[in-house]
Formats: sequence, C-alpha cells, structure tokens
Amino acid sequence: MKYDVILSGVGGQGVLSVGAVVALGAMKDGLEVKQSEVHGMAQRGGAVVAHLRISDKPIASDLIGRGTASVILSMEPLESLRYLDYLADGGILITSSEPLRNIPDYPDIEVILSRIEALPRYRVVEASALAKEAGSSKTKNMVMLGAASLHLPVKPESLRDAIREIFTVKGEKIVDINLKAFNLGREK
Amino acid sequence: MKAILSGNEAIARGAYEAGVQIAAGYPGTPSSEIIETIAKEYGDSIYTEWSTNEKVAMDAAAGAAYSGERCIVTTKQVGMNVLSDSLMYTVYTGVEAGLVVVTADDPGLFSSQNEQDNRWYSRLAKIPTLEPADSQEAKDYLKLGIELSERYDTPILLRSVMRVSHSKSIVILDKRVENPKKIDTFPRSIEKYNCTAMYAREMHPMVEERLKRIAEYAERAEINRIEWQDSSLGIITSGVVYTYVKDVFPHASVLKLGMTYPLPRRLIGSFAESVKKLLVIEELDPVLEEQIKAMGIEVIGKELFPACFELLPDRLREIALEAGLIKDESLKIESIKSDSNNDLPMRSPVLCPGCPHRSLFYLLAKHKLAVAGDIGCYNLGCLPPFRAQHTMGAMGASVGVLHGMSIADIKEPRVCTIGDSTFFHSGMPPLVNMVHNRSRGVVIIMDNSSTAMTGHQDHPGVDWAVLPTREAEKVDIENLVKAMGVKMVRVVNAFEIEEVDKGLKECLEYDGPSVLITKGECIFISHFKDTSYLVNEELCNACGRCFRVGCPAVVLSEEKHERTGKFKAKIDVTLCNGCSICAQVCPTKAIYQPEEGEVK
Repeated sequence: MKYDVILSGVGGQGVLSVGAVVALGAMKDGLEVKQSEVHGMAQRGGAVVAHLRISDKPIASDLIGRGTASVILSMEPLESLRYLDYLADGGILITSSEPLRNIPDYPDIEVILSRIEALPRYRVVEASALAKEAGSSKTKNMVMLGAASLHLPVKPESLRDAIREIFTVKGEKIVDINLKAFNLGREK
Repeated sequence: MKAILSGNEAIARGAYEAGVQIAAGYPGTPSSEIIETIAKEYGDSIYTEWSTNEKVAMDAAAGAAYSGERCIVTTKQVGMNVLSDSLMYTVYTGVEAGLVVVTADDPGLFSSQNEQDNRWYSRLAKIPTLEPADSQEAKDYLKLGIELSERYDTPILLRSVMRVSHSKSIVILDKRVENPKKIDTFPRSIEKYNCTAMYAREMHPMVEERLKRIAEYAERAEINRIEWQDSSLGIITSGVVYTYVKDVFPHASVLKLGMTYPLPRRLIGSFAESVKKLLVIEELDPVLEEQIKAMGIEVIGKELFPACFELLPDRLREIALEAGLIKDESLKIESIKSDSNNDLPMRSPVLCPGCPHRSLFYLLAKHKLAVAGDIGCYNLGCLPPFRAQHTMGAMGASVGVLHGMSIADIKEPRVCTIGDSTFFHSGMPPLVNMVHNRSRGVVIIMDNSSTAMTGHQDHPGVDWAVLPTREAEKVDIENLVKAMGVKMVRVVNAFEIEEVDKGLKECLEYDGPSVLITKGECIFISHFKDTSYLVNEELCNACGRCFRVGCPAVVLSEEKHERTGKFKAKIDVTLCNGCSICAQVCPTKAIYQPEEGEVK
C-alpha cells in the first residue's frame, strides 16, 4: 500500500497542522510516513504546499512525483489547482469552496470551480459554514481533513487521537472544537 | 519510543541524546528550528542562545568546547561565511569536548540570497563532514559527530539542506548520555589553543595527519555503505539526494556516502571497478565528482545533472529517461514535464497586515529615494507595490553600500534600510565607519523588536531570550548609535505615517550620517488586534492609493467606480488587524474604523 497526499493552501490556513495530524495518525496505525514542507513564507500569505507519503513499506523520498498523488487536499480552491499535475489518473481533488482573495489578480471563482468540476473525481466542501458550526472559523482545516478522511488509509480514530495529541497544548476547548470540526467534515 | 520529527527537530534531539550542553547560533532559514527546539524541549539540559551573529556563536562554542562542554553551532548556508573565520582556527586547535557545526544549506533558494554549496568549506577548512538524508540520520549523525569530534580532536561539520531540515519522518528516540569530559579549570595549553604563527606551524601538519586517520575511518565507517543491485549502473550520492536516487533508480547499485569529507578512496575505487557505468549525483556543485575524478576514476556527473537548483525526483527522472539510464513504460516524459496550471496567478509573500514596516516603504516609494537594502522581512519592500529596496546582498551590507553611494557622491538623496536584529548582527561596524569617514546618508533602523523573518527570535535589542525563563539585558539602539558618534538621530512611531515622513525629511536634510529609528513591534510580538477597518464604498473613488500600502487585507471590491470603471477597495475583515495605515493614506477618508459590532 502506498498513498500520496498533496496538501495545499495559503499561509495561515493550517495546511501544516493537517499534515501533522495525518502523519501522526498514520504512525499510530503502524504505517511509515514522510512529509515535506516548505517553510519561510508560511505566515505571510504565500502559497503553502506539503507532500505527505504514507506506506506500509519503507519510503525513500518524501517527495511525490508528478502524476502519482492519490489525493490533493486543499484549503483553498485556487491553490487546489496549482498542483493538479501531481494528481494520478483516478486520484481525487478535495478542496474548500471559499476563495482567499488576497491578491489583486485572483481569477473569477466560477472559472476556478468549473475547472475543478471538469475533473473525473473531485469534492468541493463548504468548509467555512461547518467550521463556524464547530465553533471557530479557524478550524476550516480540520473540516477539510474530516472530509478527506473518508479517502485516507488512516483509521478515523487514529486521526482523532492525533488531533487530541497535537492540540492538547492549546487547551481542552480547542481540542473539542477541532474534533467537532473533523466530525462535521467527515459526516456532511 | 518513536516520534515524527523534522530534520531540525531530530538534530536538536541528537544534541540532547549526545549530552550536548551548549547550543548557539543566529537564526536563518532553514536552520532556525534547531535552537528553538532545543530551547523548547531540552532547555533544562542544554544552555541555548541566539548570538548576535554566527561568528560570535562560533567563538562562544569554541570557548565552551575548550572548557570541556559539548557544543553545537547552527547556521544557514550564508551564515557559514560569517563564522568561517573562526571555523578555520578551531580546526587547527581542536577541542576538549565535542563540537559540531551544523549548516543548513538552501538548494533551490527558498529563502536565501544565493545557492552556495557549503561542502566547499569541508575542503577549505579541512573539517570532517557528515551529510544526513532524513530525520533518523540527522539525529544519528549529530551524535556520531560529537563522538568523532572527541575521538579525533576536531570540530565536525554536519551539513543539512532544506529538504532534510524541514522534512518530517519517524525517528526512534534514545536516552541522553552525560558528557564525561567535565573539567574544572581552563586548559593552559598555549601550544594547542593559541594560533600564533609559530604554534600554528606545528598545528597544520597535525591537521593533515589527522585527516589521513579520519579518511581511514571513512573506509570502514558504517555510514559509507554500498547497496548492491544491478551492477550495470552504479551511483555515488549523499544526503537527501540519496532518497531521490532510490526512488528514481530502484535497480541501480548505490554507494551512499554519509561522510563526504574526507572521502574513502579505496571504497570508491572498488565500487567503481565493480559497476559498468558510474554516475555521481549531487545537488549544486561537483564537490564529490571533482575529487573522484582526481582519483583517476571515470564518472558521469555535472554533464547530466546540472549545478543549479534541486535535483528533485521528477527532474532526476526526466534527465534519466532522456539519457536512457532508466526505462519506465508507465511514465511519459511529457507527463513529468507538464505544468498545465502555470497560468494561475502567483501568491507572492507580502508584509503582514499590521506590519510596522508598511509606512516606511509607502514613503520611500512615494519620495522615489535611492535605497540600499538589507536582509529581513523588509526586503519584501523590493516587490510591488513598493519596489523600494534597490540592493540586497548580505547581512549588514546596506550600511556599507550606503556609504559607498555617499563617497561615489551620487546626486540624489540616499538611505538604507536595516532591521534591528540585522543591525546588531553586522550593521554596527559600517555605521561607525560612516561616522569616522564623515559619510552622508540616512541609516533607517526598522526596529520591530524581533528577528521577524526567521520566526521572531530574540536579539540584543529586546529583554527576553530564546529560553523564556531566562532574563536578558536590553541594549537601547538610540543610545547605542549616539554613543557610536551619530549626531543626528530621530526616533519615530512606525504606525504614524506623518511622523515617519517628518523624521525622514529631517534626516535627509542633515549633512552627515544620520539615523532614523522607526519603532513598531512586529504583529507577532505585539499581537495587536483592533477593530477591523471598513471601506465606505460611496466615498471610495477607486484611486488605488490604499493598494500602495501593500496590505493583504486591502482587496479589490466587486464594485466598480461608475466613471473610471476601476475596482473600488474593500477590506478583508478576517485579515485586518486595525493598524490604520491604509486609512491614513486614503485621500477621501473612505476607510474608517466602525464602532464595535458594525463589522459583519
């Protein structure tokens, strides 16, 4: 088994937190995991991407080859398209529906959505509403992870354990809100 | 026990397990998380500091290693240039306890001004060098580095790259060992620790002899290993590129070098003899290739694998397919090469909402001043909409470049921009030089109370340290520059555009070196958050001036101006921190701060 995930979004959207949760969840399931990140601009509104590889055998490189990713999981629709070349035939693109228009030349959202809808397998999640329902708009990333968890080879309970472990330093309330966001994303 | 660690976190863990007692460095991507992790996770066991610059850190580590403490120094690749002066003497003197210098290089220039390959320093300084490929090796090699440092009486270089430092994988954790080298008095071994010429003459032959012994170790070291497969293709590689090679050439035999200086000549020779075709695959410069060729061994290297940028798996695969080195029916070169989404607009990094640097760059652009720039977040001032940092090359260089503009007597007003941390790092000597040589120009010290670009580390201008429980002494920049002999000093609030403009103009008029200090805490230090501003669309005339402050919270509205057809402005309330800079520049007063509750 090998499962390659491209995580994308904009700095500040919690892309790397999603990566951390999936990686820890996979380790809890006894799987091998490698994750690459590009730091530096992550807090400054720039594009953020992480490669996450999960396997039941040793993994050499942490980088995913073009045309081989099992899933693209994006916190933002424009960013979901940026790495489309990495998606394998039969792979699925999962993205949040809401654009983050912090650049002057952001394309028409309808154009972006139509490009996404032209793909054989995709899912567009109304993550903002679900995040607010969970208790904080900052949990959009966990809503997206919940939605993606239906496709990941990691047990949902392991992902929930990973959320507990990673967010515990921020307090019980934050853990609960993030778990709720995850569950809402998974169920709706 | 297992944990998922980044390479930098694993190096920190390795330091802990190796019984390291002192860690010093200067922040720089991709190296910064090593010291930060040590302070956060192992701060009780290891003394940690952000030194004023890399050379200061290196000297401090040398002094501590002479005193019998195990030490590491961390730097990004260009910081090696700063500490190299001190690196050279520590190789001559050796140490009492283990000393490892960690360099995190940046192939691909993710956040650096150049793509220098610090493996050249191995040969220049004659320092044994280890290159880990992933987090587990990063931890193991740091520990091995301390061991070898003590066994061979030399500092050791551990060379990481961004893809090792920032990549995460599973690491097996071990216990800490205690340094057995404790000594009570400082060694008076003048012949060993004083590099005066007559003693250094004795040291150099010892360094050469030591390298021979370490090369013998390299022949049998476990970290230099051959992974035999098909003997028709052999590949010599090291570091993270090894992981790419394993993915792209699953059938090739591989000689993985964990120690890349000094090289195991006999091991390389026998590997070369046992394979039909031999490649050396290394990122950046042909450091291994040239040494192997000098052994009289025929290899293919840089003629296939270019010296610029990373050799990521896709790129390697493309090169290998085109050269006929691999055959993969499932892959077409076109699909590897395809980049069908390059029509998407880029998301360039920008100064954060609430950034104290925004006001100054708005003014520098408005007044069209000539600006020598320096390294920090404020180098984003070189990008649109400001385009107001006209040079940038090295830490502290802006002040010297400004002096050069002054002695060249260019016929326009000139300034330089330098951050508080960068000023302490290497901006002080050139400012003293300006004073002494009666230069003219405005040195603008943008004091945001942190080393912001690399993740908000401390520096001598703040009263806190990397370890929160340790108090630190704050050095006041205004008093400092006055004591350095600057007679014209203005201190302004960075969040008041008119005040900054007034201070700037006064400094520009002064006939001599002047210093303008713009004070305003980084938003990640102050955590300032006021009610978000809004745009009154009826008052907005779509003039676009608010876009010239370059704030990501100021976005295009869907509304167009009736006459000009230009988009009006809108403020993204989730991003706005309420700093008011955009409102201060709006000519029609269309940007306003609503009462609490009005924001939807």
